[in-house]
Amino acid sequence: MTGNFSDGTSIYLQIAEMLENDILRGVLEEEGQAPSTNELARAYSINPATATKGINLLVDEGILYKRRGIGMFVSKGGRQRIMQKRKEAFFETYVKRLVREAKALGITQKELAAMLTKAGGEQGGNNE
Amino acid sequence: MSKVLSAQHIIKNYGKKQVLHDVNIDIEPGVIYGLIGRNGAGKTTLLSILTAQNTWNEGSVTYGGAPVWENETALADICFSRELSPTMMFGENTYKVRDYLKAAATYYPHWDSAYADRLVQRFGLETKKKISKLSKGMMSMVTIILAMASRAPITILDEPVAGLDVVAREDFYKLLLEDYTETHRTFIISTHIIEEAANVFEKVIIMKDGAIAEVAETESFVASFSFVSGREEDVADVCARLGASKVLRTEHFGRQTGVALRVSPSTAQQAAEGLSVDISPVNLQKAFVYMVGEKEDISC
Amino acid sequence: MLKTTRFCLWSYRWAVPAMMGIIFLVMLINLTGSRTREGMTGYISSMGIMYLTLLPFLFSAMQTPSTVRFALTMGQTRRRLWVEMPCVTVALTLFMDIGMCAMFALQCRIFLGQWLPDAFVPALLALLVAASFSFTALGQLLGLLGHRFGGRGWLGGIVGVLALITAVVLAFVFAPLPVQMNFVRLFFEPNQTLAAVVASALGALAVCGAVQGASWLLLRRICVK
Repeated sequence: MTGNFSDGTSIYLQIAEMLENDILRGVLEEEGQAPSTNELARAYSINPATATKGINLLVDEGILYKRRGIGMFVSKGGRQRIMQKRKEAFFETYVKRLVREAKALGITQKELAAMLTKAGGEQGGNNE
Repeated sequence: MSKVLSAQHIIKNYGKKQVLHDVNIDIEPGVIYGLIGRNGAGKTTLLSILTAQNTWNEGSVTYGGAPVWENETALADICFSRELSPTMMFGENTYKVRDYLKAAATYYPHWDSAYADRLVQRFGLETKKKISKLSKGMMSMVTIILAMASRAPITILDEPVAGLDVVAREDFYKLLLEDYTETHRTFIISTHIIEEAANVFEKVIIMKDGAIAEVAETESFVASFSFVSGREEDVADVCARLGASKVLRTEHFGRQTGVALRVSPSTAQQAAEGLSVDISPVNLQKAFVYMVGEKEDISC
Repeated sequence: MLKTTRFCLWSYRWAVPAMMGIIFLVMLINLTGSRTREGMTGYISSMGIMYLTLLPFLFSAMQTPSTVRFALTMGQTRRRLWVEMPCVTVALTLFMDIGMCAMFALQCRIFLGQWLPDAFVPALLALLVAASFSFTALGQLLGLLGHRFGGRGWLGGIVGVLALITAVVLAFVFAPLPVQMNFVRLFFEPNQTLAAVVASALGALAVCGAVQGASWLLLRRICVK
């Protein structure tokens, strides 16, 4: 499982992201046990300290919690929190940029809304 | 087992030439360190001094507060696995692998024979062969086995992956982490193969020209570099906003200019507000090269 | 206990017998050509003297630097190594001497029909064995000098040893006649054997002691780069 890290972001952030993805996918269930730092270290050939950093990030965000002597567990409502976090990140990274680029290109709000509907239609799903 | 191996104000001369200038380092217990530096930077000399195998002219080396020099208790906790190389008639390389490992068992109080045997099997090492008759890769494996099976609280490996192919190297990092997650002993690994090993090092020690340029947590060290590229004028603007001291290297390709900066990508992003430049993070290997390599003309 | 000594003996467990084997064959070839009993006795005796002194000296000198380096890289302190050096001397010398004496005895048996050469003097053997230990120790010192000072060390060491031997020989040659006679009587009179052995042993101890003292000066700051 080595070598599946990209160069761009810090490894610990990527670890956190991987764990989040697993939670969203249901691979890790709420109130279920999450991998330990040692397990992550061995699986991904990274230093345990890096894995700890990633886990601690999720603990700080309330997505994971520690049960003393047992290990790391996924918080109840963790999935929800991740979704919320990702929505906020979506807004910050994609949406703001979209708006900025649209403004730079002189696209009006009405045109933008029409574009969104069109894209929503092409892709299927429930974009209103 | 939480003793700190510490070097203070170490100065080492070979004749009139000073090879280590006022080196200070505290090796914290339970950390995997990567020691990186160019050839001749003084890595092996420093490691020899830390392990009291080489002498020094000024300064002190202590372990848990007590000097390491001629200190059996301290040395019992330390294993320095050096590179083996084929040399002359009398020497380590005339010994058979089996004898070498047997000897190690007598010298290292924490030696784990069962572990050594498992590793010999894992690597497929022929123990009856003389060390001088081994391939470069196999020689590296012997040094690795020595280090790992020593189970020394402070284990130092000098260029352990030098002779190994990429598959064997990956196996080594795996092995290292397996051991570390179990024992949490201190490792110092001196290596030229930087980027591969970057994920394994919790901290890096960068040596340049006989001095320690930096000791830092790998991740934050790497995150403190960025690369900005774009039109010459725009890049120059960014440099000016951040200050020339932050510029590590300038590269020109055609009408484009690229600079390596000692600021985080986010800081660079802020400084590049309103400018059309590309900002990218830098990996450990590149960061090291920018830091110790030659600066070109700073045209900022 | 005695890690370096054990390691030393173990790592040369084949090398030393191999050397013996070669010497045996060489002498065998030479002796087969010889006719006279005196010739053979002379050859075996002179070879005995040479190999019991020269071989330990050379072997000791050549293996000392790598043994020292090995012990240091394995984390042994210089003090402990210094303490072990006489043990290494004794062990190596015993190893070589027992082998060589057995070999010479065998050749005497083959070519002279007896286990000892004709003019065998036990006191002289004692002297030779004592010299053997001394030469091993001197070889060690030479090895240390070579390790510490490189080419200059080796050269200086060899010159030093030659000077020492010359000095001893000259001391005997120019000693007053009574002293010379005492010496000869000590070694050639049958009922003085015990005294001869003791004298030889003391001589060897003196040399080894001096070597040990000098070795510390070299070992205390020795390094592996």
